Amino acid sequence: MVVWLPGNPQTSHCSLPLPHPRNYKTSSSTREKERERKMGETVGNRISLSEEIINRAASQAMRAHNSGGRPFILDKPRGLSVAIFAFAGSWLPDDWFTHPPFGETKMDTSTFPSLRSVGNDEVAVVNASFLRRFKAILDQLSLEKEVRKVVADNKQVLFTGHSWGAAMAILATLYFLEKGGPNQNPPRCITFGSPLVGDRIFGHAVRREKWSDRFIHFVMRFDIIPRIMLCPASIEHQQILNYFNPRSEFYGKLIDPHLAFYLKVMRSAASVATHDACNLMGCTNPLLENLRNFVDLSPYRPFGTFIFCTGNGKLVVVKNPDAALQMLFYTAQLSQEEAAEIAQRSLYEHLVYDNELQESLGMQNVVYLDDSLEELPLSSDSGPAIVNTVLNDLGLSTEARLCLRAAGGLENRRLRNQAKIDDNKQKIKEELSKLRGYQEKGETLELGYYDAFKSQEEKADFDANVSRLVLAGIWDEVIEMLRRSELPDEFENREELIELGTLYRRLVEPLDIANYYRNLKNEDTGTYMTRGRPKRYRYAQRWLEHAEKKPSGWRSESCFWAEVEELCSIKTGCNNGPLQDTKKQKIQQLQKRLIEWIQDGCLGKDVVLEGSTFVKWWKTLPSEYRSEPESSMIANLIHG
Amino acid sequence: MSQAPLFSSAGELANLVVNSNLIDVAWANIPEIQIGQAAFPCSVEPMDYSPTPNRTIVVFASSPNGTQYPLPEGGHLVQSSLFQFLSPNECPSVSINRAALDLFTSLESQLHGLKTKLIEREGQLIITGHSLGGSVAALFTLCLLDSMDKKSKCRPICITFGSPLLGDFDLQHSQWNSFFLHVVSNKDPVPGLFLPSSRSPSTSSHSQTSVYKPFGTYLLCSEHGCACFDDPDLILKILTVASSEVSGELQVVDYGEMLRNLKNKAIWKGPQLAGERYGNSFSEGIVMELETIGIDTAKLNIDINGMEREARSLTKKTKASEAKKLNDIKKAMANLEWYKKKAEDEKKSYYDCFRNEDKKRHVDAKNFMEELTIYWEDMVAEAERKPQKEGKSFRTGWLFAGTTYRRMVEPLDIADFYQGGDGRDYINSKRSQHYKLLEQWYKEAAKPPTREDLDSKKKKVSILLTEDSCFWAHVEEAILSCQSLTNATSTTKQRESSWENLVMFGEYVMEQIENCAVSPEIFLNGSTFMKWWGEYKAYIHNFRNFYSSRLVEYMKRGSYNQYG
Repeated sequence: MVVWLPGNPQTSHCSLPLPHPRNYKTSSSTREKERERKMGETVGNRISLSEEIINRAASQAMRAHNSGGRPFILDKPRGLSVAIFAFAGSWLPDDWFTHPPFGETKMDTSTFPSLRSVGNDEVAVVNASFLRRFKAILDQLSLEKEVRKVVADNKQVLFTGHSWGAAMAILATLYFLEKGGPNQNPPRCITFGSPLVGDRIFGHAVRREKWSDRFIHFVMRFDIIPRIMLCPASIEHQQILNYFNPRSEFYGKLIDPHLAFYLKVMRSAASVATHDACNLMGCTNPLLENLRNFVDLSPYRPFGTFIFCTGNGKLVVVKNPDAALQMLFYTAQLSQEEAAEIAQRSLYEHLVYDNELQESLGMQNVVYLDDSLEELPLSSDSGPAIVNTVLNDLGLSTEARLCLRAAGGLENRRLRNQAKIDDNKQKIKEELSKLRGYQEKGETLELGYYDAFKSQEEKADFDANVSRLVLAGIWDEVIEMLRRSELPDEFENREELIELGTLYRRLVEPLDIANYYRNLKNEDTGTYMTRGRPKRYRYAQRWLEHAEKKPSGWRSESCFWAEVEELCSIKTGCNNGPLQDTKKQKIQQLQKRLIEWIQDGCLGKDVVLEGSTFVKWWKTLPSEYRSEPESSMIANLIHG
Repeated sequence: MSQAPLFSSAGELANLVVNSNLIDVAWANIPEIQIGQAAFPCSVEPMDYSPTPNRTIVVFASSPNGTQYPLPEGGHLVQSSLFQFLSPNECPSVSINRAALDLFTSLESQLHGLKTKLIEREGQLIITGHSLGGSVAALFTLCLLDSMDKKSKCRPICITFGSPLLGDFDLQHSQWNSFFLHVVSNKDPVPGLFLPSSRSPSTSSHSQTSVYKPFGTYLLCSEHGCACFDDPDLILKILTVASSEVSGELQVVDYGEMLRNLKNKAIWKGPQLAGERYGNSFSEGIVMELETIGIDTAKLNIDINGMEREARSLTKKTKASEAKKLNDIKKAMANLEWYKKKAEDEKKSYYDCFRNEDKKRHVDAKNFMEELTIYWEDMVAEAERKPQKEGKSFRTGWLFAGTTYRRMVEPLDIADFYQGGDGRDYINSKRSQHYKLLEQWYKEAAKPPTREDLDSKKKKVSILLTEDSCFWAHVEEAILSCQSLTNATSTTKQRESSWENLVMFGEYVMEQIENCAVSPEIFLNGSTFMKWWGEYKAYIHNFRNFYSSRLVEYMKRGSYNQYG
């Protein structure tokens, strides 16, 4: 059976294996259409891609199914400034799930270094099959070569794909976003009926890097594929893939029993949606925590801009990822009477994106939900008519609307938290400037503020301690919010924060180290680095390292004193072979880095003041611990 | 700043529960066992399944008779020492429903073996039962929780179906609350059986019934839907209504059928409101949830605004705000440390400084003291509200900080107490409960010191705080004893007891010195301790010239100059 005619974009519409379900499209009156058009921008404007390009991408995405074994097809339409890379699809179960239940794996951070959380330092999770197959495509080298050519031509790179091909398009876009130079026009991505690809951290990282707007996902209201990853690998999965697979004997045949596959996917989608809704709504019932031990939830979550097609020519745009998840579940909910028909539609709608979009984009009947999520009307007859009409068209119950409100509410809460932290900035700066004064005063004493603080002799030392604690309070609150995802995703990528965090870390962490060793906590608990280092410094260090694209541990200059303290506490002289060797190595390395750090200006000169612990200790080092040229450079620093 | 929007997640949580396989799995084994157990009117039998290596299910089946007519005269509560561990320290006793307790006790030896076996297992443990079987399941789970420690890899959940209320305890302040899920149909009269307004004939005469308290989460169900609640008062109200609306005829609810229906409901499209009534998400949500389970909020006089206030107060206490508070507390401690340091610079102990002078910085010190005291009284109270074992693990995290606080701040309370000159017997008359508990917990947790500990203590004794936070109270009492010895109006008996006290005090101080448990600041010139030594030395010199003790020798030789 021929489904997609190869090589001819004009006739790429699939010949449907099913009779067309009853005609459910109703066109609204011209006048109403006119009014609504005035109310909203066109989709093209909003996402800065012309309707022509979107339509072209849709037809290319469908066409790519018959690419003749090539992983993608490249289309450079005349008169348009884009080059469209459309990825082919696959219906083989192995290409969807490597292992039950959900086939996920940790993201390959050497290829995708940004796909992790920064402070929390968790790696994103991605579908293992998608990742494996995408890397195989990369290995063929043609993709990179073609993209380079297009970029050299000054064309906008646009990746697209339908179904499984959409997952490849997403990974390709991310790959080139990661590689992109500062002057390069970053690639775009439009998907049609894409399965979910990554987890919550995956989406968080994309939003943090401000890449979210590069991704546009079109989803038909009932399309089963965008929901399929919410469901564990199962026999129903296989049935669905077989239905779409032209090479399968079950291709296009009614799935029997005809409702079971749909209920299975919806049941899983419901679990994920209700679980996340509990979090969005701030559920305080402790049972929720314990349930997580018993309920296996899919890790996959939506990200990017979702555009839901109502099926009667309207488009609903939503960027909020929590709202998008709730929509994925609630818009596909069944009502008893329509159940059988909807199950069929969930398959059929996966194949009609190009037609549907041509019509919807022509009508431009668009509603943007993000701005008004928190105020969505709860009943079917309140609120702005245009919003309510689409909510009704999407079949959203009051419960669904409450969930969407909660999704909007959480995002607003995050913004409020951020504003609250921004209000503290002045306070942070004041305390830092007090401590800066303290540091400078320490230099005039030929002792350095580290040692002064450690001795806690003067009123100034005590005042510095109070400043330290005030700052700790402010930053610890920030860290706790980050740990609980109570701040906007972009928070850790704000230059101002990274700068302030770095200033804070370099100036104040030595005081925490001094406090730690002053109270001899190392004797009871262990070293500062292993047991005592507060999260607020770990996080601030990770922020800077991430911004500079440096590996974890690169920016440890603020821990200089902890290393010195630990090295001081190993007695020199006693002939304890291996310990001495590692110590020697460590000391030599520390000397090297000290010079680098001081030259960089990220470590203050106060460490090389005559009276400082470091200098006193360094002077006692036997000559075999020092090597040239570092040794004379340090000597110069001390006397310079 | 506008208030954060609030939502009620009772319906969402219920749907999450219903959608998961958890309850189905729990219910699946109950009906068949019940059929097999017809012989005794009220018997319960634990059955242990391991359907997958990762999951164990324990089912407490009760016979059909026991299910239908569970408890003739069974509403009585009896005190049980077996479940004493449930009581927080602040509340002395625990009472359990007699019928459930009798059944549980009759199975005790069997259950003990089962418990030991289960604790060793890893993974999910589902403990379930229907009606009275559920009550026994819950009692068994409580025992199991009490025997588990942190290392245990067994993750239990107890799911009961249509079980009656169990006892007078609640677990609102305990993590244990998260382990209990009670599934209750609004058609089932059994869960509300022991409630005062219940029309059920068999229990109408019980006077004790009103003290029953629900615990855990209730999954309340009707044919229209379900909702999860964990507020005991609300649950009581709902159970009362439900049981009074059920017809007098006791009927058996088919929970299997009910669950199948709810499972469908959870993914079918829900209703749309015909119009908004309250204008805020919380009220719209919770009224809808309550209506779903057949509760008319207007008729029942349920205070929606009150519920909203309560929900809002629960969201206020976040980890982030706690992190901030903890640093405020550290700041207050740093200020007191500084106060202590300043005193030392003036060659005084901070105790004496606080006792004898009255300057602005004492006012400051007092403010910090108060801030710290409020914080620690709260922490101690929270630990006290939890079941005993849990309270213990809760406090281990901060016991060290609490001990530092006690050693730092209690001397100041003592100074305050003796300052006016009228204070007598601080330890028995004035000492705050939270200090006593902090000290008791510290002693329970402390390991006996080793030789090395003592050596390292010797090195840093100068920066340590005096270990016995009541040290200064003992000193003050010793001074009073000295005064009583030299006071002409004292009776012989008074003098004798004073002398005895002083002898004991001498031994006590010497022991503290040998253990490096006192700060060297006590030997500073003019300290209250040195003042005592002056008076004591004079007394011995004048009246008991022959007397000596190790402390007297130590002091006379001036060995204390080498201390610390």
